[in-house]
Amino acid sequence: MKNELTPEFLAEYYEKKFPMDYFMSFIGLSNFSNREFGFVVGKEAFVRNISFQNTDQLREYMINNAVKHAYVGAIYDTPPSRETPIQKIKWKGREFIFDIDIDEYDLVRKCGCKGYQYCKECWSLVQDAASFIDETMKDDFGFKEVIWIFSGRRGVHGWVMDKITQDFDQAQRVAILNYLTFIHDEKRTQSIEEIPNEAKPLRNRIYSLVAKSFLEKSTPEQLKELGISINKAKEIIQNVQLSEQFDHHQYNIIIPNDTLVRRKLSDEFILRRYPRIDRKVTMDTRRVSRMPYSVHGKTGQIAIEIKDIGNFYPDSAPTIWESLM
Amino acid sequence: MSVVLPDWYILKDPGDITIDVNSWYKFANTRLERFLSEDLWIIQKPTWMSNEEWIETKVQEIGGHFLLRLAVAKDPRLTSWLVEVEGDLFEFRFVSSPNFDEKIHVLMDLYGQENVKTIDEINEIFRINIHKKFNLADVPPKKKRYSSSKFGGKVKDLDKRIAIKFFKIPSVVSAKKVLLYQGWAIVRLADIRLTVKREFEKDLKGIIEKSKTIVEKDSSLEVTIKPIKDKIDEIARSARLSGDLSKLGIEAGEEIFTKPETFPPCIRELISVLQAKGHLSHVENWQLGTYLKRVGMSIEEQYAFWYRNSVDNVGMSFDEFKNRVGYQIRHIYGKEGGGIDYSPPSCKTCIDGFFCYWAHKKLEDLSEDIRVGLADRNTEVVETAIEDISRLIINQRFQTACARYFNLLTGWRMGGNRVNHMVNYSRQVYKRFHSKKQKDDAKNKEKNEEG
Repeated sequence: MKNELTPEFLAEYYEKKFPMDYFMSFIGLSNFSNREFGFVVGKEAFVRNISFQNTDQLREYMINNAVKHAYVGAIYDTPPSRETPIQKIKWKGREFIFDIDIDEYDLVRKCGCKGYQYCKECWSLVQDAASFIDETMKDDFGFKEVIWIFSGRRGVHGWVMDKITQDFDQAQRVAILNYLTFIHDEKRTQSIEEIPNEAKPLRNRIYSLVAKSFLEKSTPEQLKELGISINKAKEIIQNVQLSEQFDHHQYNIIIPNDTLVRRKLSDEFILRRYPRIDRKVTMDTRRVSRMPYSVHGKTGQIAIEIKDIGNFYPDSAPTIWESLM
Repeated sequence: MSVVLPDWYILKDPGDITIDVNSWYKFANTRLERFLSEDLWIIQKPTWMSNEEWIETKVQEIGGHFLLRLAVAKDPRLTSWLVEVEGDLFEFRFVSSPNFDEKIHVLMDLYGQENVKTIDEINEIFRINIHKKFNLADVPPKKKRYSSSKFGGKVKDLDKRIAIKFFKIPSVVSAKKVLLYQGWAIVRLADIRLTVKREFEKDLKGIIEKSKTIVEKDSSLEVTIKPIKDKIDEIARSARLSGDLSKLGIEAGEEIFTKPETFPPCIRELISVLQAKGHLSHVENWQLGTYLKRVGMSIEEQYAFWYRNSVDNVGMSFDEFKNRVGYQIRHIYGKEGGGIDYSPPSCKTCIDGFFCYWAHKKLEDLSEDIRVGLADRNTEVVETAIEDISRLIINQRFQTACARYFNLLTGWRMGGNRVNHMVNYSRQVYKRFHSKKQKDDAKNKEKNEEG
């Protein structure tokens, strides 16, 4: 029998189990009273423009209202409230967050899953995307820490913890997003941008992570469709599976030196396996994001921190019922 | 590294200098005349000049510029004009400065000393050799991203690389024209030239904004700056607001509508939608309004244009329309809101959030438009062009598609093989037609004379 997400369970979770200290380590104590929160309460009413003087008030609110979904937003110069909504007050900062959802890949998933469904095969797309972004944030942008949080249903959120990112304006956020973007209009035309020469670390990473993952998982028949002979395709797949450190140079050696084939192949591996990011979450400076360690009101799963994204599968995330047992 | 800013950098603190108030007008006038002649000048001490004379030259430069700042401070339209011409001069001096350290020091001043490093410094900090690690060379790329002829061939060190914190140059990061390493953007100076110019313009704007308080505090200054302000006003009106097109023979105002062939496809489409439906979206209104302003329409003429074509006029007198709907138009001209004299958006901005004919219109519709519009041309040529354009659109190369269309229309190639700005498109089209017409006229005249 499926567990029911009752107000009592929710209240009990936020009273006894919600790790306020862990949550606060994500947003910090400074400016807490000027921070916006948003909640889904009662019969799916979404309320925003709420702020609290301290964490006790926040916990009390979540208990008393048995919140189904809890979100944290940006910092403003005045505490957000119904009288001083965020449209009327000055924005001061927000965390820099990536959102990767499995349904963003609907046009290229071959396993048969759609929407919120996932399986081991298609979940690897989310895992690869998180690893790619993680490495890019650290190696290219020089950020020290990215923490991945399970969204509670179909994806993961990457919180860049470096304080400097809080002050990034929209242009700076969009610049990072655009640097990472190779598939334009992801839900319709899916046109692919050429891999740039100047951005060498990014280019190398595309080959070592995305191309490798694509080639490892391909069959000779799939590569044949791109203009590579069956024998050559078998050789390529075997080479990639055996190599521990696959990079741009190895790619150049093993892939036939045919411009058309190379272009088709690079378009294909980017289309199939390149990270697809929900842009709005990253660029909208006034957006609210799911609070780490809060409960997902539809699944009852908890938005836990993911220690090892390569080994994380949504089914393994704890639920509110398990947590209260 | 101690930062020594070059003498040509007018944002530098001039130190303790005294300028004779009576000389201000002369200095400012000289500077204005030089802007007018469009002769970008280098300020560098000639070997034959004595130190005293050189100091006097610098004082003239600083004093002239200082008075121009004061003169424009209270007028957003004039501020935009000064920022633009000073921006061009800065760009010229930056690219032509023969001293690489000078360029680095200017970047440090613009972006903050802690946010700019030389490649040697980066190598030292991270104990690596960036050039070796990423196989870089300071040789010019096959496809140059600038035209040295624009600067009279005086381009120095633009292919050399420097390191800037990535968040200081978001547009370059966005275009992936950058090697990012541990938060540092390793870039060729050629790739940040325009971004640096924009940063300079932003800082200059801020300084002019501060100058406003000086003028407001001292009412006698208003009298001192009046003649120079009037002169700038006159120049800005003729040279800028009448648009680049005036230089090519198009008169300001509604005259532009006698030459619709000069409109870029996006503007032609917006006008035809406006005329058919009577309204556009907010951003499209803005795009069309700023374009019309840039090519020379006055506010009054824009009121008339929108009143004639927009459904917002229903049941409204012209005066009512001006009061109620005219807000947006006045806003475009900096007469409402923040007082900014807005420029039309670039093609990149149009693609991202405004209207680009190639990015936002259905492929099959625009193919048909081209066929109908060019029905008198050789079908094979048109079909080949449509095929090229379609391929470019699918690959999201909208600006190149526009240049290909320009090529189909005029038979000429657009410089850089891409269209960057709608006003530039109009200017280029007019240039082609105008010079062709002039040649044809000359030929006919010759024939007639011979006859």
